[in-house]
Amino acid sequence: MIPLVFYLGLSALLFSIGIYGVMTHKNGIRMIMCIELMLNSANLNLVAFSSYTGTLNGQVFAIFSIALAAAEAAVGFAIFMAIYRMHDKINLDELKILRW
Amino acid sequence: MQTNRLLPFLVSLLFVAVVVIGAFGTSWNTVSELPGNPADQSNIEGIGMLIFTQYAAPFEVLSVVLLASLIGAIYMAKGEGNK
Amino acid sequence: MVKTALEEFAFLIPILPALAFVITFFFGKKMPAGGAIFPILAIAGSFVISFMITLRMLGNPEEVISQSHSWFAVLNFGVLIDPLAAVMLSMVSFVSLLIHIYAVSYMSHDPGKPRYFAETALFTAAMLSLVLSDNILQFFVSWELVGLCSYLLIGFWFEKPSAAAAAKKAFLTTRVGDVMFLTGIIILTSDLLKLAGGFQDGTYLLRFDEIFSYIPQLSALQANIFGFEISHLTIITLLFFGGAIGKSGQFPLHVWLPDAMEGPTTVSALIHAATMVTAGVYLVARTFPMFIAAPDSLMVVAYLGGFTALFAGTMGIVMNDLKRVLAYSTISQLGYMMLGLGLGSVIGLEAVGVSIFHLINHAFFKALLFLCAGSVIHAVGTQDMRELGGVGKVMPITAVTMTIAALSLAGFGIPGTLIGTSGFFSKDPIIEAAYIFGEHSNNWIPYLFSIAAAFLTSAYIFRLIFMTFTGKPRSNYHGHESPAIMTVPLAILALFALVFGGLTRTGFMAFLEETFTNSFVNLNIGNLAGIGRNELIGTTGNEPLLILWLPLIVALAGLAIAFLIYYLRVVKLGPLASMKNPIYRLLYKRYYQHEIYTEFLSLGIVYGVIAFLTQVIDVIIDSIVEAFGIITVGVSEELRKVQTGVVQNYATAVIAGVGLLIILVKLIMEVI
Repeated sequence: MIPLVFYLGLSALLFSIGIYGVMTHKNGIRMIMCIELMLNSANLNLVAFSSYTGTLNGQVFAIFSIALAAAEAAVGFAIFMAIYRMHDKINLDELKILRW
Repeated sequence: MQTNRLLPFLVSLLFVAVVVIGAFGTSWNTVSELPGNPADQSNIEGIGMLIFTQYAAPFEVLSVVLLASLIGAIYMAKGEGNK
Repeated sequence: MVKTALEEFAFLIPILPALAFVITFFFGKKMPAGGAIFPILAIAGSFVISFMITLRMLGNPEEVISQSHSWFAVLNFGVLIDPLAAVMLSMVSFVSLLIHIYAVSYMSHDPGKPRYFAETALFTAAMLSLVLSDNILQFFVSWELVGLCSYLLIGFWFEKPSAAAAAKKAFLTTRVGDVMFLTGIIILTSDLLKLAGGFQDGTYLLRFDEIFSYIPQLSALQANIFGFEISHLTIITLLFFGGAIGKSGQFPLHVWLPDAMEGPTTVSALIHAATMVTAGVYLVARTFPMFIAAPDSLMVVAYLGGFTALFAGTMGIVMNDLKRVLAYSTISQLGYMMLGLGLGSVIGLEAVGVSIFHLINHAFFKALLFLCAGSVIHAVGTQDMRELGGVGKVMPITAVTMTIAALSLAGFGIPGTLIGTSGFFSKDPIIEAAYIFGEHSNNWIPYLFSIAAAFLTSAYIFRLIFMTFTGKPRSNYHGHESPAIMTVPLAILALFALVFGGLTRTGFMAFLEETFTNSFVNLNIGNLAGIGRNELIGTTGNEPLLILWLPLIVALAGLAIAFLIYYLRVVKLGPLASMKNPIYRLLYKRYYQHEIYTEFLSLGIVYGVIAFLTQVIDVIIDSIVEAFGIITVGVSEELRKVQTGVVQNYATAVIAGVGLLIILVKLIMEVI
């Protein structure tokens, strides 16, 4: 059987990729995709721990977390649509009317 | 857009290194063996029981959150012009 | 069962009006009558609780309510209701309740009603919390809150420059006293810490019982000031008394009280009767064991009180403003209360009973006087007595109630019997105590002060009555009797002003003398008096017949003079009351206090010195401050560029920080 640590390592890798994406991409939609990646790496952790400790709580949490991710993505994309309608752009580093 | 990808890369590398080393260096308290026959496991039934007994309240809250975000998303995406 | 329940509700007494303040302040605009209903209900609730506690305590005065909770270090906050606090609580909430009901009608035309009712509710809450605080620090906090509320309420019509100035004057003048009070508390705390050997868990250092238990040691501590050996206790009590001077309008810090008339009349009634000015008297009564154990302190209290009683009376007699006469009368009566407390050096604990008894009676008739004056002002629209006259015909209820209040203030009653107004039963014992003091020490000054003040009291208050309510109108006004919501409180107060003193006379004194011998503190006042080198002798009521009758005789003389001059008009006032008469001018100008305080003391000395110092210090401090400013601006000009506002940069920093932190923690744990 595969040791738990490999699941954790995979999850860490996925999370880092997500972080890297968030840090480098300027496009809002890509950033949301990367955030989803990070969320899912956390879900992977939850499910892995759940399996390896013989309780189902973690899997329930994972389901909740997926549902919340859906809500978050929906709101996020709606915000981007509103921003796009107003400014005709989606690159977050160009939206700096509130900056110094 | 292409500027300065080195620092994020290094930072992510640092992060993954820290986490992976941490994960490998910990002795996890797990069950020694997974249940033998995967077909026997009825995860769905167990999860369903949990959601509607122990986690009923969070489930209800979650449904409200989903509904609220749905309404919010529709409202914002619709915009003011095209009613 | 009932007993425990009542005790648990004691903390609600100040909390209820405080809640009413919040509700009225934020939501009052949307309520009918400016949200007056909340303060009225809340204060009614406070009154019911206080009254029930008082009733129960009457049966068993040994059993006081005392609840303390640790605040921080050795300080605490808590509730203490002993006989003294119980009667004060009942009086404050009762008078305040009546004034609030009255104000619904009095303030009905004012746009700032929610603010008014919110502030008066807070005022009442502060006073109630002051009365039932069980330690000197909580007392001081409430004391300051009372001061703040008085500032807000005196300056209620802040668009009027005179009201704004009066509020400022009241605040600054009482502040002088407050600083003295605070200094006293600081000295007391440092002494107690020294005596108790530092902070000790489980004791509440500034709680009254703790303070009282250290009185002998405090008295033994000596300080050397200008070559005089002065006991620490004397210094502390005199500083406390300094606070009381400011709050209770004693000479020389009384100047704010007459100016406080700029607020609405109901506020004046509240300040003068129920709250604020009585706080000073209450402070002295509350710390009476300290005063009696301190050599010379009570002497100062007695002299200053007696002098203030006389001094304010002389000014009251020439004022032409309805409310200002009453203001000087308040100062004078507070002088009586202080005198009564000061005479504790011979009559011991009875002084507290006598003085607080006068305080309670004074609250009734002074609130009544102010509310009657408010009724007249509300109906007629002027408060200058020279323009009034004959008001009694159009406002019969107000005239009758005000006359009752005047009789009570002047102290009419037949000695030796139970017939008499409330003021008679409380003022005469003070004068009698002054006589005992004179007989004992061959020092007749307090007695002369008090008798002369009694004469003046009667003269000025009946001058007011005759000028306002009798004779012919001296100007065109259209008066009408006030509505029932105003006259009913007047009638209730009149009833109390008339009979309260006679009904409760003996029981009240005996009740209050239990204040310092109960389950909370148990003090032997005789021993404490010995520490202060005060000899306690006898009690009042056994003086020669002439002495018993003299106050009534001088009061009648005052009435007769006022009747002759202002009703029958047998004396021409013209030459007497003109600016050419030096005595009249001196009195009318209020002994030139304004000139002395404002122009000489404030502007001349204080302002001059400070202006010079400022110019010197300005240069030094300015350059230092400027340097800091320049450095800050320069550094932040660069630093703010770190805040790019780009989420990615922040995310990078956070993740890098987390990673480095984990490594750091790991390293530290390895090393350890």
